[in-house]
Amino acid sequence: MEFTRQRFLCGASALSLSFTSMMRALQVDAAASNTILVVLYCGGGNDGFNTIIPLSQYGTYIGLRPRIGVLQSDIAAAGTAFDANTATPASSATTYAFHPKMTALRAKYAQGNVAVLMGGALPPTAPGLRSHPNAQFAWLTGAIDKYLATTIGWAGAAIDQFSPLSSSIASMISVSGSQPILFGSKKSSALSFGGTLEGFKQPFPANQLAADIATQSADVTMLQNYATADPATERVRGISSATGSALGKVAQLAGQVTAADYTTKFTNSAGGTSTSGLKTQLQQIARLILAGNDSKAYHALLGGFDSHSAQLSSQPDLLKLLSEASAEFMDYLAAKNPATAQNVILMTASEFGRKPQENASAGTDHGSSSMHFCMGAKIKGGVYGAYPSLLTKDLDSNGYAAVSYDYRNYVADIIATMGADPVPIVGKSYPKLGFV
Amino acid sequence: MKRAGFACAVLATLLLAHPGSATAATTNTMFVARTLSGSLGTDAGIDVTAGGVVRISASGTLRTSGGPCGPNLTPDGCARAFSLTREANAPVGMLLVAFVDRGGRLISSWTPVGTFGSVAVPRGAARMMLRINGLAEGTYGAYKVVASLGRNPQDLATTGGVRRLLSEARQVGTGNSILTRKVVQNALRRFGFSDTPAAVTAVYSGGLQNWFAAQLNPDTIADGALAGYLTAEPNNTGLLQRNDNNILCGYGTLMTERQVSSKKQLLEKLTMYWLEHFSINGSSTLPGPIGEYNTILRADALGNFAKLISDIALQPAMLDWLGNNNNNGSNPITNPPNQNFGRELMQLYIMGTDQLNMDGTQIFDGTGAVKQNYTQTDVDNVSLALTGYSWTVPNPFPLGLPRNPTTNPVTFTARNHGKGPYAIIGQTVTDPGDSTVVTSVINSLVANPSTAPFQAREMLQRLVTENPSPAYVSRIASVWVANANDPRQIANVVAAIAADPEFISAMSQPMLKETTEFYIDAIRALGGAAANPVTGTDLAPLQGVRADLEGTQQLLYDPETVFGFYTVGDKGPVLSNGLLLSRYNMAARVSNALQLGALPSLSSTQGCGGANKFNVDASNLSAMNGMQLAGYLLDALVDGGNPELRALVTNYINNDPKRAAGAVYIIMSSPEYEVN
Repeated sequence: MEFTRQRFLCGASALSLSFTSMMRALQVDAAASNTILVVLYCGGGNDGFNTIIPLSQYGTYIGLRPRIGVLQSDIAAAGTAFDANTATPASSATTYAFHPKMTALRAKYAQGNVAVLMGGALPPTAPGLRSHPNAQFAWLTGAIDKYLATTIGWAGAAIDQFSPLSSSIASMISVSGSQPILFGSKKSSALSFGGTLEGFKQPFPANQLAADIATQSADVTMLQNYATADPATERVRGISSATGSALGKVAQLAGQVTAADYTTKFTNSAGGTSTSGLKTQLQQIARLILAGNDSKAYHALLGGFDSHSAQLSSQPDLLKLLSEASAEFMDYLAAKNPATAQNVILMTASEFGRKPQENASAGTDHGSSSMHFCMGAKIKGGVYGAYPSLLTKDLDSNGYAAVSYDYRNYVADIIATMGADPVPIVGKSYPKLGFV
Repeated sequence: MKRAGFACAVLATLLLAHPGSATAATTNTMFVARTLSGSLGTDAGIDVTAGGVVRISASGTLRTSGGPCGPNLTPDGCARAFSLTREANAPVGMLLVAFVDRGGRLISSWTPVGTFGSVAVPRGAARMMLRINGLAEGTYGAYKVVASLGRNPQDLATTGGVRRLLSEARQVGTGNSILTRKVVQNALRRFGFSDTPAAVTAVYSGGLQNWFAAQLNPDTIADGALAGYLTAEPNNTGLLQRNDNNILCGYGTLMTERQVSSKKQLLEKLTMYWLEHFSINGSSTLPGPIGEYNTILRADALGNFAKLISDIALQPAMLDWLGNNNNNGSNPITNPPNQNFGRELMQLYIMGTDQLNMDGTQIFDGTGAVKQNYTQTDVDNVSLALTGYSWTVPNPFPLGLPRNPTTNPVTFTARNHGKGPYAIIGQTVTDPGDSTVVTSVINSLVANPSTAPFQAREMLQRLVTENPSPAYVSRIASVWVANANDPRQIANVVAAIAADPEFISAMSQPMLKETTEFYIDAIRALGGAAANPVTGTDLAPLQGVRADLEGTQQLLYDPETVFGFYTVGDKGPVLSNGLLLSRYNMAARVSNALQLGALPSLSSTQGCGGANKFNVDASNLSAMNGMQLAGYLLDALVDGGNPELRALVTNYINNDPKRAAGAVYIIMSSPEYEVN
């Protein structure tokens, strides 16, 4: 049964609640830039050394990874080698290579709007830096010093600096199925769901209740409107209320950019494999953007990067998906609405990289620095940071590669493109990495 | 609390202000009512101070004409139930009062009072309870009572003698330590998977501690016909076929079946608890090892923690899941061992990253940074020590059959083992050079000072409250340590949790349901059980529930990550907007499965194994009219519910039994049902 707006009579209370808190914080307010940020999070800790292969130190690299190292012949066949100069053809590039499965991203790199950020990580002194939840917390809040003691994410904190966005479904939308701490905020709204826009609707049972709703003799979706005395129920009531408010708007936007359109424009989008979810997620974000939704930040999630064992059976396919999905997403936006596409920045993040040396299970264990991508018309293509040396003498006593920049530097530069001041969020001022 | 829900009520409940009261703040207004179904008994009450006097002004309408409450009656007149028992010394319908102490024990007889009266508070009393002298079918109605408490009846405004205003019986017990029926219902949901209203009432009458005492000895609980069926797992050929294409339809189903049908409810909840603690994804291994894993979790669920974790460590399913199968430590320099299991053993399974005080708070160094329990070198060394184990998958492997430990043992191969001794967190662990090395390492880690508070805090956060007080954590951690060598360590810890002075207070606070609870609690509360457990084909998840569990990220044996389904201590962020809709989907499925107008069977013809059916005990439901069903469903699912929810459900059903199924959806999609 379709949801209709009238049935969610009391659905506005969560939004009005946050509006009230906005009114309270009247020290206004930075002007948001026109940036539309898409954060593609690679869950599990992506192995940067097999994502970007260091051709200039290939002997050292393959010595550390005799079983899982990427072969030069595969790179040559795929044509994914590159240099800092984005115009260098693959055939003559000698410094780095994208993984051979990442041909789509290599092609976008040649267009000059893909930045490759090398060697970023948490600082080596961060507590729990090789624990997934602790490192994820750091990456998504920008606040390692708070160490699991905040519920505010860096994107939420950035958007909190702006005046409220009155017309959007929510200031931030996650299409990953869960609510990331990235979008935790003091006063800005966030929405999260999985699947497609069409799937975001309230299900009703196909029994007498449906008939009663159809004949208007039942109005059953007002449940969230009663006051509750305890935080647990109140939180549910707030989520329920916000969900009710968003249902109608999402349905309306879904109608403006149809599923058929995006399906034909994204290659291989029918999918059906366990990793096809990323394309579905980016498709929903594209549809929302093209339908005029004015959320400032989106979140998508690709999991499965925790490659302790048999890495070759998982990571290459994930990288292929990452590469294709992000390239198709950017191309689709540019084809459908070039002006809006100019404002979109897609960035990747992951809690940590892996150790340079492969382990006894033909996998890699939790490491430090990794490689990330940032793309969009606002991005200056090229190489930023520094690929760490893999020589034994340059690894630390536990075998970890050096960190070339603090991950907060990357986060701060992105926050700045949103029009917000990064210093209160990441704790101090960093020199620009220069990719944006 | 908003009173809008009563705007349409016309039941003549007249509020009479206390004549001697100068201020309304010293009075206490509540409804005392009983329903037609008379299936429940929860008393209204006020907290009192010994030595005072309670004055009562009551008004209301009692009807004896039979017939349903009409839509014009306040839901309090119909959906609230009181007094199953009748005091012989008072007529039916008379308002009665009695006093209980802080343990909820009755310390006075039930005494009739008129609509105006004064009652002295006896020594030792903590609360005065009110009920309508009951049990005459066909009567229903409500009193609205204003009760005032003072040292003497004349100085109410000045003594501040009323300690707490409780306008709703359902709020009795909130924030204090008196055992109420609501606390019992919450306890049965958190230490089990809910139960029918009659069963809740039975535990309330029989004593919650008695329930814990029995449940903590599951071997003494008979599972009847179900036992034979469950013993046959995992050799059940029907299940083997179900194992073919998805986990939930195999061992996930077996787990679900036990959760729904076993009388050993606490054992099943603790098995689920340990599955979440030692979270594992079935896709990394085979159905046989998953079944064996489940069996070990259940066997050790109330046992000794060090034994549990030692057993888990060498399970084929765990070896497969965290990459310790065939892990090789023979040459750590050129071929370092896989660290996945070694790291998670410390971080997730035993003591966590942070050094903890006994009360669960973090320990900081001089710079304000949290002290860490271990270094990367400790991870290296633990991982090295745990190398050399492997198990071989039989070829061909009979689908779904358990491993034969004799023909397919977990073996220790010395030449693949990383030699010790090992420096682990400031201790030196010697290397016996044989298969017992895992026990040496685990015993060393379990003895870490952070282990007890880490485990105690998690048990409280998952089972009792997401915000346990440091003092509560400390007391439980002490019990954990004192029982370190006890073969029933975990059972003793659970007993201490339930006997703790903070337990009842904590249990009266709502906690977000896990999705498994959202689903199974409803089925059990409605009396769902396997119709014919012995055949093994009758009980399986409702059609489509697997997809809903996936949508809510709690498909058994299919967590997103090694961290399980929920962050310990905060399930909130997982409850996204989409997940809420997935829960509504489950509510819709349960609602659809109810046969319209009849309620008695929850059935589905398409499930994992073909014809699957939940049956509810219809004996006390089939005779109910719509209004009685409304009261019953509210009591079963939300212990009566908030007044607004009661109004909504009562008005929706409007005495039409065929709306019962829809009412279940309404209740299950309310915020109140999301918590327990």
